[in-house]
Amino acid sequence: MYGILGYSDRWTVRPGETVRFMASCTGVRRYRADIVRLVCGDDSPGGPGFKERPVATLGELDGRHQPIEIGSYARVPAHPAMDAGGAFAVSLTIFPTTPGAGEQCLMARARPDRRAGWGLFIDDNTRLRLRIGDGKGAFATLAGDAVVPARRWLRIVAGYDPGTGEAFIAQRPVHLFPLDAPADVKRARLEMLRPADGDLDLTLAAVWSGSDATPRMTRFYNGKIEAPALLRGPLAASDIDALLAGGRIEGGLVRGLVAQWDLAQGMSGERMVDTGPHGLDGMLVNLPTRAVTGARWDGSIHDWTRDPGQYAAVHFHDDDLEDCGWESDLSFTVPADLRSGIYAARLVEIDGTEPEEARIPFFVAAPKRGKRAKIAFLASTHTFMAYSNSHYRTDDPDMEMKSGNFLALNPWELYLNEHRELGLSPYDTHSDGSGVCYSSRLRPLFSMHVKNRVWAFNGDTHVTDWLEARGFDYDIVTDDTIHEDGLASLAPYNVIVTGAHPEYWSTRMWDAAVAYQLQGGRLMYLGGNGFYWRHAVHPEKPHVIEIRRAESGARYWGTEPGEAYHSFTGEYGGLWRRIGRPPQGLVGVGTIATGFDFGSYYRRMPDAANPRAAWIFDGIEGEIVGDFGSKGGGAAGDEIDRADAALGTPAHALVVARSEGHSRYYNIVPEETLFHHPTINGEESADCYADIVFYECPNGGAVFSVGSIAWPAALAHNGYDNNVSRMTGNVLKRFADDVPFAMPAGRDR
Amino acid sequence: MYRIADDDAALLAEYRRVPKKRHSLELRRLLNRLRMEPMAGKIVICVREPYKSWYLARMGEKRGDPVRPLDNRLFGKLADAEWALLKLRWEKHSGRSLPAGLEGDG
Repeated sequence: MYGILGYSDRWTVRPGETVRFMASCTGVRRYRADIVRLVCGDDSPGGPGFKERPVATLGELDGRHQPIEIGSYARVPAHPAMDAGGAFAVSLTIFPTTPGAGEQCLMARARPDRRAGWGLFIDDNTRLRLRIGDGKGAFATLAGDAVVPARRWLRIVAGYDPGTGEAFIAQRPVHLFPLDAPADVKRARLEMLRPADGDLDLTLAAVWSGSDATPRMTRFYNGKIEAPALLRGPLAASDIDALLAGGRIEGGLVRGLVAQWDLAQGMSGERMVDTGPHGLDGMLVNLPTRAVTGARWDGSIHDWTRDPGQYAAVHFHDDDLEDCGWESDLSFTVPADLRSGIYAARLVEIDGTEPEEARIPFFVAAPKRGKRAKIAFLASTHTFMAYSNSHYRTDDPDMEMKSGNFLALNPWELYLNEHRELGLSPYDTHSDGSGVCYSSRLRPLFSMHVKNRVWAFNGDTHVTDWLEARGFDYDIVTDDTIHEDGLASLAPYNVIVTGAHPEYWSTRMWDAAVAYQLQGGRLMYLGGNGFYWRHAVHPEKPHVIEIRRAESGARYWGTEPGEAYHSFTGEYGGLWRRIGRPPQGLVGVGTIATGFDFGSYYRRMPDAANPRAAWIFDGIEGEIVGDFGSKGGGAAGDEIDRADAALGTPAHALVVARSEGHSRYYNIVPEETLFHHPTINGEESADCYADIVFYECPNGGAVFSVGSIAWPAALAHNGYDNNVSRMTGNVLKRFADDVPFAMPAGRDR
Repeated sequence: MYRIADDDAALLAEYRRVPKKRHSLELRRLLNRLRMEPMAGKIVICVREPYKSWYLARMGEKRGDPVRPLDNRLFGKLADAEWALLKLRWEKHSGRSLPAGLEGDG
């Protein structure tokens, strides 16, 4: 299983544009490639069934394996100024998070396979260790006496003089805690040898393995590094003391400065700026985390843009990944007449006994100019990226309690557990326990698989399936198009229909949604826990998003103190609610509870009889709506939202239905339960319900929100003949109609 | 912390008899206790063929370790796999053997 994996260079394309596909095969000798239109990815019992239609044939190809290099580090190209012909020293400040978890490189110009060059490491024995080799068999090493403590800032200076063999390692805690060891300096006279470093790049947080084949890098370091510097010439004891005391290259030390990298500069990118005399800039590889607190952070500021010097550190992880860097085997240029929709490159093994197959989805948006449908379905591509390759079901011991069930691990979860090289999700923690802030889509993403967990991308195909089954003509817009083009991507449509879980919104996306409503656009929010987290997009790399789990919210990890501001934008991260823009102000409802055992139903509310909303119930009998569905047996479930005037639900909004009967495994979200108590569960809380809300907006617009992730999973029940489908259809037909809505007057306003 | 007591054995019969949605508070508390385990070495259910067959397996000691099948049993119903798992967790956490006479036991 998973003998073919792949990804595309872009997710959203328009007619005339080309999407490239990268694939890697394990045990698959040859495969056939087609383009298919994806209608529904859910093959679970009770669901609509898996549906796709062939569109084009790409051909047959030989399978080949392509490797992945995971782990972040920094690299500075070799330069003659770095050569350690004479005495040299390194200085840096570190915050190691996994000392003792194998040897980890701090800074090096080395290739350990030949014992060539020099490197400073944290060794297996949690001591600093300097290694020097001439590449011809002679080598020397010195280890410090003091333990390298975990999660403490430590200043380090180490050096070697080939002319005398004198070597030293010095370390000192930056903030002395009562039980920390004081400064420790170890000196020794080692063999006199010249480090063979002439053509070697300088690296931080990993070292070259000596091979150009995977793994090219090895001995990854977990933790933060600040103010790395390379110096020439023997250091006097007073110089070492000065560096240990302040970590700054100043006074007489400046004469010997080769390079000093200021990790507070260029915070939104990957360039590592050298402030020394030679301009030896480096690059950060595989997205180590930036905008993290440094050794000088004193808690007085939380916004790195106000004093980047307090954030002059980078957090490296052995499981960071930006780009698999695979070569492309396939491409597809979108024909001018191809309908907007969800498509995939389908790769199927030829002649396999149980043929391997993979689908690499992409989204075809309508041409920027030309005829459009009146309806657009919003593919929440940034939310899909957030869920990427999540490991919480194999890594988080609390999952059984959260779900109210015993774990039943699926094949894809077992695969991801063992294939950590595919990288993590912002729902995961790194191997050192720190939260994952970045997610890239230049890698195979299991969150984009069909015939998979009915969640995010796969779950949203319930809506496209229903649109097609009910014969609605629609285009696709994506988070990418909204973030890139803003209002222009939404403006042509009478109505935007979301999927089950449009959870992540960048500021540009949020502003575009507001502007769309103001110009009279209609929004159908067919999900729950939407419009919840703010995220950022890399300023130059649209394939990378950033998420900070600041302050509150239902979350799998919490942002470290002082690290709530995105590195990509400088914006404060976390819940939109904590940024003063609760989703109730945009869509009438906002998250109130989560639970994953059973769904429930809605009951018609008095507002349903209001003439402004009565048409929503045309053809719907009885009080109960949605007491069915393939997700937990009810249309109100998983993550649910409710109206709240205090958080911005418009005064004229009509709550036409409300869910009830939720279980004990539903719990009110943290931002609503400032002080926890035993009655925040679905059985006992008075607040645990989903609201269906309708209201009119200026210039003929309107909003309809269902406040439940499980809603789309009820659409196909009974051959699409049910009250959830009927209500959704009633609203969509009216919202697609050109006739403007009128804002209510008088008491209804 | 709640500790499993002798009387709780009766709740296993309720688990067999009563649909999940209508479990008593006491049974839910017992199930919560049986689910509170660290991941290292935890016995879980794994899907062999989606929606068709399941087996019991043991998590590795650390992240990324393979999840190894516990035995050769293959369950055609998820509920049967859950019951098999529950029995193992009961014996581990209660220190008591399984009461006799539970419907479908064994």
